Amino acid sequence: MNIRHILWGAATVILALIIHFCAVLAIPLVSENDAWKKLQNFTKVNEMLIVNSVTEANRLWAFHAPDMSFAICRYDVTKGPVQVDFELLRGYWSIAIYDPDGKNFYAADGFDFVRQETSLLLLGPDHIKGDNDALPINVPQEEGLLVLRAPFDNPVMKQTVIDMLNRAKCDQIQVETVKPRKKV
Amino acid sequence: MLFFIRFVTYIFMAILIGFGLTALSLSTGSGLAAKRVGGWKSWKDAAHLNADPYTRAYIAKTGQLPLPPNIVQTYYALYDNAHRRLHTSCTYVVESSAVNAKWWTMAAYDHKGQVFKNKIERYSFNAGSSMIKFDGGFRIYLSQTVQPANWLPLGDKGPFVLVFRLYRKQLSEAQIKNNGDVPLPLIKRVSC
Repeated sequence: MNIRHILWGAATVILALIIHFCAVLAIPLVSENDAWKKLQNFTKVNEMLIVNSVTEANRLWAFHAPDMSFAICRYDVTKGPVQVDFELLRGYWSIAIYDPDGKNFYAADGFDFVRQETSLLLLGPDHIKGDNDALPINVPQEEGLLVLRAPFDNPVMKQTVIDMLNRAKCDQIQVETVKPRKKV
Repeated sequence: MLFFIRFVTYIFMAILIGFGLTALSLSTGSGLAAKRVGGWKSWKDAAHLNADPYTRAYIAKTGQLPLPPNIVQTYYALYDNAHRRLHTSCTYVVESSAVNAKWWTMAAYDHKGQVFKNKIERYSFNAGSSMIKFDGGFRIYLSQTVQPANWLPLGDKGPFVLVFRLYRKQLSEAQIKNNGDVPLPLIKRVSC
């Protein structure tokens, strides 16, 4: 092996590493499989989508927890704040909010709330909370995803969980008509 | 001409190694981004706003919406305790001592992250649905054929991934000092 082969080999390794790092950085930008892109086809803006079957969840995202039902709201605060009302039956029920890049900027579970019935108010950059008693959350981008996860121990409990998720609301409200709903 | 052939060959090799390394680091978890505990791995910053590029790529590739570790800690196993790739044609027993968490769940997925469809519609076991041992732990059998007690059916031939989720993991003083590592279930291959 002469010096020329060593140089070619080193150049190959360096180029391989460059390709590797470029690929890792590019995947989040070009992936057609990310949750935001997938859920855009299944959700309506500012409406709750209830996912309570494994088949349906399989279509939405990989590695979903099968003993869990979901309520998903694809919110858009462009025209006004969005109020989300929900109940957390058990401590390990959770709510999480993501921006379109899939970054989680808010998450809480039932152990974080003192009341089972809770309201969140998603505010854009120009919105004010007003006299609304819902817990205000300033969202970093005008669109995003809110996911309510409701685990059930067994199939018998599943219907109770689905009923509670069906009562969850995700509504756009006008700033001038912001009224108190529920205390957190 | 020789230079051109050599140039094309090395470029081809670099592309192959580069993309191969990317696929490997995202499937098995790069040591920079994934924490290993026994045969299990966990993407430690999956829900972190400033997650590293490997974690961001993994999340985008799989289309997941992760929760932060203070709510749920998710562990993935691709290999059994003897470091053999998990395969649906084999029978496994997953055994754990008492789980120190508010709730836990264990499920098996195919290589695309989809649960195995089965006639009895059993896709996972959790703290409420599994039969618990006298010591508070559990024993779950994974196979294509019926097994006693906690049996999780596996699908058609192929590799699979086992996922263990701990909700509100409780740590002892010693575990906090040990980077929050907790004892995780052992995965033993019974037959193949």
